[in-house]
This record gives sequence, structure tokens and C-alpha cells, in this order.
Amino acid sequence: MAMSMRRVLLASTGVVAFIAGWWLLSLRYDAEQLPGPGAVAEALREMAANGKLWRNSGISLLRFAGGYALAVMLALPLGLLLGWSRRSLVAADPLIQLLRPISPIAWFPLAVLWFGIGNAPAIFIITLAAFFPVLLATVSAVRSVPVSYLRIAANLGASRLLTARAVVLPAAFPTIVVGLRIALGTAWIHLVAGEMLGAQSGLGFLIVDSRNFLRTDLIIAGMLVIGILGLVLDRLIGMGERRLRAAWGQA
Amino acid sequence: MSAIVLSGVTRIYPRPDGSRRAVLSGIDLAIGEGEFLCLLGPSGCGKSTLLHLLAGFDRPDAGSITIDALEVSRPDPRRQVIPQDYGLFPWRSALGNVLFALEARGVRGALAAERAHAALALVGLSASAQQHPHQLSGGQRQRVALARALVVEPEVLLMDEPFGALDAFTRYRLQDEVRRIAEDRRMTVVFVTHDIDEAVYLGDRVVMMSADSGRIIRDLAIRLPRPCDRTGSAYLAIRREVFAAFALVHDGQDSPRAGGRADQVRRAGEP
Ligand SMILES: Nc1ncnc2c1ncn2[C@@H]1O[C@H](COP(=O)(O)OP(=O)(O)O)[C@@H](O)[C@H]1O
Ligand SMILES: [Mg+2]
Repeated sequence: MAMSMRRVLLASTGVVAFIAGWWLLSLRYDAEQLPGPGAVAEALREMAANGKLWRNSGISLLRFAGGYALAVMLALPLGLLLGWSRRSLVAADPLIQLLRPISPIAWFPLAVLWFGIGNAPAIFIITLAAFFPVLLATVSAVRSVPVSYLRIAANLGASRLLTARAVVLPAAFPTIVVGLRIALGTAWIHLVAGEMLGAQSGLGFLIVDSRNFLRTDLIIAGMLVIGILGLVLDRLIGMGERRLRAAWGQA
Repeated sequence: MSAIVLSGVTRIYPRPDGSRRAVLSGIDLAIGEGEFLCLLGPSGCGKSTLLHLLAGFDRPDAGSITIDALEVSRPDPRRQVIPQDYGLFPWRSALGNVLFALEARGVRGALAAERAHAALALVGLSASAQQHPHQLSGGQRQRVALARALVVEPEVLLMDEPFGALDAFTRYRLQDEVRRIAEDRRMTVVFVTHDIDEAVYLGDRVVMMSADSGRIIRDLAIRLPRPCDRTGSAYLAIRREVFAAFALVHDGQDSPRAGGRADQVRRAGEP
């Protein structure tokens, strides 16, 4: 993909302006309150050298993958069912609307009570955070499958199972993927929150731990890593989404 | 095998303002087995509505539709609809779309592959079997839809403005092919169109509907030698008759208003 020089320059405007503003501000404060970009870069180098960066990122990514996969495995079939059967949706919708506004963070005390400290509560929070976006996207994707596809299937005498598997699922898939992408971002945000509250490792823990030692440079370095990994994850699923659209014959 | 009888078929839809409108109102029509019938009328006159009723996608509010004396109450693989938008699955290749039809009929494996390829060959698409719909031209998509319908060997083919979106050259070629296939397979065809020339060229019979009445205004048997000559005088005379039925002729003498000449309505298919 050839990106023109002008485009690259334009795209970096925000980042460059931000770093410049940050640097100017950092001159007015002492390093414990607001370290400058140079100090944070140095902190990143230190974390990379002593392995903290790789270890904690790895743990966070693993938890994330586990929680996200679990959410998709639960929400996708349930969403297909609720989108397919009007009655089941009527039955479940009030419950969904009741549970959905409860922030995954609010579940945290219960999660620790049930699962203790460690991987489980963080995974639980991620699963919760990803579950509803995937569920709702799947329901609406299934409900908006063009009626002409369903008529074709009915006209050919396709069984309900074949219709669900070979028509509804593939027809809904591009829309479901949009939900998967939204869920990815939401879940990533909550991963860090989960780790800040009850884990002994991971990027969220790294930030809390750095605060306890007043290492502001490490806090900001940890935040940067979280942002960069989130960006990379989003780009990856965005690429997958585009490929899928191409395979599905959509622009 | 497949004589279709409509009696008093009425379909009522709500208007946006809440009032009710009979899109079809007391339609009586007998379609003979093996007949190629063109349903002709302007946009919005209820052609698709009628086709959906014939397909069993929808039920009339009054009246009945029977095929061989059996009430049409739901879709049936023996009656294949080719929708206006073709209804192809964009995630499947041309071959995959045709295979879906066989899968739905419980035909799998080598036999399915053989029949699917034969259907694609019949519509001249063997070379594009692996292409996806977005890689095909409008005419090719129409051919895939045709192959998908034909592969299950229907007795009745219901086509909704199938060639409306195609250029004239492609349209003429497909018209000839559909006519040929329908004759070879002795299918009953109901072909919806808003194109007068197409209706006259293709139909053994042209059933005309007016814009708002929800009724049939004219039912014209067409007896032209096949394949018929689009520029011959017999063809042009019939074409003129159809124009007249829709009051599209302006020569001062012969311009009846639509539906205004019930005395001259010829009912084809009736003694
Ligand atoms: N589901 C529906 N609800 C309300 N009105 C409808 C519906 N389907 C069709 N109509 C109306 O019925 C009329 C006939 O539609 P249609 O059969 O699609 O016409 P045609 O195929 O001849 O263009 C149109 O005015 C259309 O707006
Ligand atoms: Mg129509």
C-alpha cells in the first residue's frame, strides 16, 4: 500500500502536536508530576531491557484473548438464537437491557469474591465487556438478513438448519464482524481496569505498581503500551474485516 | 400437471396514511399448463404482489389460488421464483449458488456437482462457475439465478422483471434462451415485465394490468410463429394493440382509455 508523503505528514500532525505540547508542559512541572517525552522513552527502554514490558504485555494479551474468545463463544450462538426467534428475543430483551448498563467494573467485587485474585477475575471482566456488543450486533445482524435470501431458501425447501447455517450466518457475518471489532475495543479498555483492581501482573498491574513507587515515567510508559497494543489489535481486526468484506463481495 | 387458477384474488395493503388499498382486486385468471404468460403493466400496478402470491410467499386477503386443484399456501420447490434482484448469495460462487439449491433438495456429492455444472452449462456459464456474483455482469448474474432455479427442475417458473436491468443486447439474447429452455422443459412460465416489446416477443399470452385498478384490463393471446421476428408486420400489429390497451396511441381514432373496451377483451385459454 503506497501512502504518499503528504498523507504520512498529515496523519502524524496530531501525534506530533501532542508530543510537543506535552514536552512544553513537562518543562514547567517536576518529573514526578509530569515527566517529559524523553524520560518516558527512557522508561520504556528500561522496561524493555529488564523484561517487564514483554512479560506484562504477554500476560495481558493472553488474558485478553481468553476473555474475548469466551465472550464470542457465548454471545455468538445466543445472538443467533435471539435474532432468529422473535419469541426468544421478546423473552430475553428486558433482561439484556437490565444487565447491559451495569459496568463490568461494578462486577469486580463479586468477581474477586468468586474467583479470587489472579487471572480469573480479569478474564471475567473482559468477557463481560465483550459479551454485550457481540450479542447485540449478532441479534441485529440476523434480524436484518435480507428477506429475499430467506425467500430463496424457503422456495427451495431448505431446512431450518440449512437456512441458519448456510444463509443466515454467512449473510449476517459481515455485520457481526463490526460488532466483534467494537467489542474488541471495549474489552481492551476493561482489561486494564480489571488488572488494576485485582491482578499481580499485566499492564494494568504495572501501572498501579509504578504508582506505588512514584515512578510517573513508568506509569505513562505503561499507558503508552496499552494504547499502542489497542491500536494494533484494532488494525488487525480491521484488516480481517476488509478481507472478509472482499470475500463476501462487498466494497 | 401445472394448471394455475386464480379466482377473486385480492390483496390489500395499507397506504402510508393508514387507509387501505386493494393492490389486487378480484383477479380471475387461468394459466394453462406449459403456457408462457407475460404479466405486463406499469410500475406499482401489483405485478410483484401477484407473483409473490403465486409463489406462496404471501397469502391473498380474499379469493384463492390453486395449482392442479391444490391450494397454494406456501413456497414449493416445484414453483421457482427468480426475484427482481436475483437473490444470489454474494458469499458463494456461481457454482456455490447453484449447489445451494441442490443441497436444499438433499442432493449432495458427485451427483450434485454434476447437476450444478449441467445447469450452468445450460445457461452458458460454465466458464464463470468459480466467480462470485460481484465479479459477474448483470446478465451473468441473471443466468446464475436462472441456473439455480432450473437445477431443481421446477414445473413453474415465476420471473419478476428478470431482464429489467440489462442492456438491450443481453436482454434479447436472454429472452431467446429463456423461451427455448421453457419450451424444452415444457415449463409453465409467468414472466412479469413492464416492457411492452418484451411481453409481446416472449408471451404466448400477455395479461395486462393497469396502474391503479388492481385489475386485469386486457388478456391477449399471441399467435406468432416462433422465433418471432421483432420487425415483422404481425409482431408490430400486436405491439400496436398492446399500446392501444394502455392508451399509448395518439392517432385520434384508436386511443381507448385503459380498461375502456371491455367488450373487446379476448380471453385466451377460455372457450
Ligand atoms: N408490503 C407492502 N406494504 C404496503 N404496500 C405495499 C407492499 N408491497 C407492495 N406494496 C404496494 O403495492 C403496490 C404494488 O406493488 P408491486 O406489486 O411491487 O408493484 P409492481 O411489481 O407492479 O411494480 C405498490 O404501490 C406498492 O407500494
Ligand atoms: Mg415489481
